[in-house]
Amino acid sequence: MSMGCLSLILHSHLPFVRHPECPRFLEEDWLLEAISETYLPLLDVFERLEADDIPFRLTVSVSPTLTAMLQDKLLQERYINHLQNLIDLAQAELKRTKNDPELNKLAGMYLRRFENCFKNFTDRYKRNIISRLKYFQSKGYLELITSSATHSFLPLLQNVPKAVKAQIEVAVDSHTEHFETNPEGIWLPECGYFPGVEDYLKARGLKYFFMEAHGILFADQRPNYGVYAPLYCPNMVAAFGRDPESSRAVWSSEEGYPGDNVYREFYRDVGFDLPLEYIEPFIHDGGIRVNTGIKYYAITGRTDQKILYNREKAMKKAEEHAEHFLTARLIRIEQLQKSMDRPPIFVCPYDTELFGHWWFEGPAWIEYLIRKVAMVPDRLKMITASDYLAEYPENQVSTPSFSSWGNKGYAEVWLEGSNDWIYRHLHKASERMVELCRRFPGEKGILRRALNQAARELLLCQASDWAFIMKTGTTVPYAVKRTKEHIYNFNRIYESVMAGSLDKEWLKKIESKNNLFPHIDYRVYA
Amino acid sequence: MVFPIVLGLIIDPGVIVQQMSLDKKEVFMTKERLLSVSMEELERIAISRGLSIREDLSKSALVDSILETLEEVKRERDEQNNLPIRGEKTKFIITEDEEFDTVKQDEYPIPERYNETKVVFMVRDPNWAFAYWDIEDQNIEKIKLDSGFDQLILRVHNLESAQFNNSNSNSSFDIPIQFHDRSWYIYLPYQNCSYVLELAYLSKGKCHILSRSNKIKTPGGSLADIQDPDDEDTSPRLTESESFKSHSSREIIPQRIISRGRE
Repeated sequence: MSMGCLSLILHSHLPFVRHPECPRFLEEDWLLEAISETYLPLLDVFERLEADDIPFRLTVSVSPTLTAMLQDKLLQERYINHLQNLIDLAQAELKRTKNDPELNKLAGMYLRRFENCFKNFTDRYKRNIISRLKYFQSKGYLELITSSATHSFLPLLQNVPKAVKAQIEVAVDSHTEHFETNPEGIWLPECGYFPGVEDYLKARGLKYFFMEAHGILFADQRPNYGVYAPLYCPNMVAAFGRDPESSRAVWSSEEGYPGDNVYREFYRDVGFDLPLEYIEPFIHDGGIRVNTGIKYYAITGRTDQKILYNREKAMKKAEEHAEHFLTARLIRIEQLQKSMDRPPIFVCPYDTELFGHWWFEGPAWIEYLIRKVAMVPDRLKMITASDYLAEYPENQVSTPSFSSWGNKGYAEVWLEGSNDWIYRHLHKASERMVELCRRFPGEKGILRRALNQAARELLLCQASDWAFIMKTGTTVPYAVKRTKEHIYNFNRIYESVMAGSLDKEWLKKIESKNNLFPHIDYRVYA
Repeated sequence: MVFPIVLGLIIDPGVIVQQMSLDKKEVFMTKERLLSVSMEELERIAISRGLSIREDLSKSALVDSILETLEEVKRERDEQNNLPIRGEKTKFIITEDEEFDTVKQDEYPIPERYNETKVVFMVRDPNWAFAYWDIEDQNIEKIKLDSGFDQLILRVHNLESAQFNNSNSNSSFDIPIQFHDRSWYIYLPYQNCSYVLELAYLSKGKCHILSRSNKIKTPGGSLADIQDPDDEDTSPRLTESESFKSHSSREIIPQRIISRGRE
């Protein structure tokens, strides 16, 4: 038996962004970039490990909105166009840099990466990333879990219980439909937990969730093993607490690994560095500069004089960092042995998109870590929460504390001056949806379609991403617009259904635009 | 001449576009875009960003200082965030340029309020909650006609300190509010405690309840008491955890509250 357990959780999520009304849409790049920089490189890691016969076990949560986008034909088509454009850019770069061997080598690296993405996405995976994840689950390498339907921050919906219930039910149904297995666990968006949410989880067969460390530490009974063992909520759904030490090493750009000087600098992209007349054909229409993903410089230090990125050096550092991470866990195991009568579990959840997109060497770090852990099976074992519960079914019972992984540990990120105005509308629309369900319990035809669309619009306006962006300030006008759009669509359906005057053309239009959850049944709000 | 410093975002009519998605080039404050607009427009943008402008400033110097200010604001905003939030934010970074607020006012009109008498209470952290409310127009008319009308209030009841009882003043406190207020952040003195809110008004010394909120419970914000003295030796392991240190409400956490109601 191993002396310690490592549970690495990669939480994959992007909000539903799909704009068929525009030939290209800026915020769709969130997905397109994540496919090239994160999802495909991680699949590459899994492929290599499998080919080398290295045992590994990871938990990957895939949010229902991300699942819907990865399966969407239009977005798949747009990804191919996006990639073709990047390949053209990399080829142009190869030509432009031909007199500078170092730069030219890097341009070649990007060209190979993009071509590899193209080959894998089209030939190997037939555009279907979800199906490859399913394959790795079937082989026992991954445990795939869900998140709430549109990644809603559940503590701020708790005053409308049916809104919470629907977020969970639609998520589980969507997961089962796409992955053909019931999820065992759930990633509560933003680790947002409130006492009582476990009842909705249990009702849909979910056995565990993850939470921020102080959710466990401040539980109503003091946890015997701190965050190094799960707690059972009174209804026996298990709560696993994040290990703050392992998280810090990966998150922190100053003290953590991603900030190392030899790693690639995120903020020096050719989309911004090169003259507009050259770069214009490869960025957004009308000369909007965007990140292209081609970045030639290393972090270097606190200076504007960046040195060129050296891939070999960066890979060597990623290996060192993997070694450091492993050693730190092994030391901790020894310290904990004195006070625990079972192996500690280190719960290490991260946003998947951190790896590759922002921390370029992140996927390589994961690969090195897995290979290193595989060499010390008697000391550390990779497991999932399900594996742990199967091995240690007896755990302390205690109700965890309301918590999240956001600033100061509670709801402040999603409830502050910039975004608090949304809740009046989110709650009202949720109550109206419940009312619609009561008034129209078994509709057919066009009315049923309208009610189903109302449920979709409601779920979409509840995405935590909009409040998050309003607070963190990346593309605020877009987040405000999306919130208003879905509330507007919902209210319009509500009012026209109540008045018996539905605009069929308009309904058709929004059905084809906001087309996620095609099999949703509005009675989920009953 | 020095322009006055104005805080807050002002929508610049010069950059409002009809089709946001198609003409997005209009909405980003890139160096190229800023250099292409008139000096007058630049000054307007600078003022809207709280910049003071010297009259002798050249156009390119003004553009540089606008971009610097934007960069500084971005940095300050980032510093408020903890590690998971900073990490999560990176997935939404697709451009380095700031966007103008160009949401067309009437593109997706939503009501400001729903004309109902109702108050909702939301717990935010161990010490703060948020309340929003609305009073139906006809109720407002009625209250305004009440000759003894004194004050609109939010009455906060602590459900643990005494039996919930409207006349028990020890277990409640009042927050005076105005008719135009619609939301409030409320400091709650006790952790691990249930509270309920009443939207009410005082008239001739009597309290008239308009609506009662849902019940909320503040989190404990600290380790539970030890029940079995033998468990004592587990606490060092718990308290050395970084999460305990940063989230324990035994430390005073500075709170930055922006109350929309009294802006």
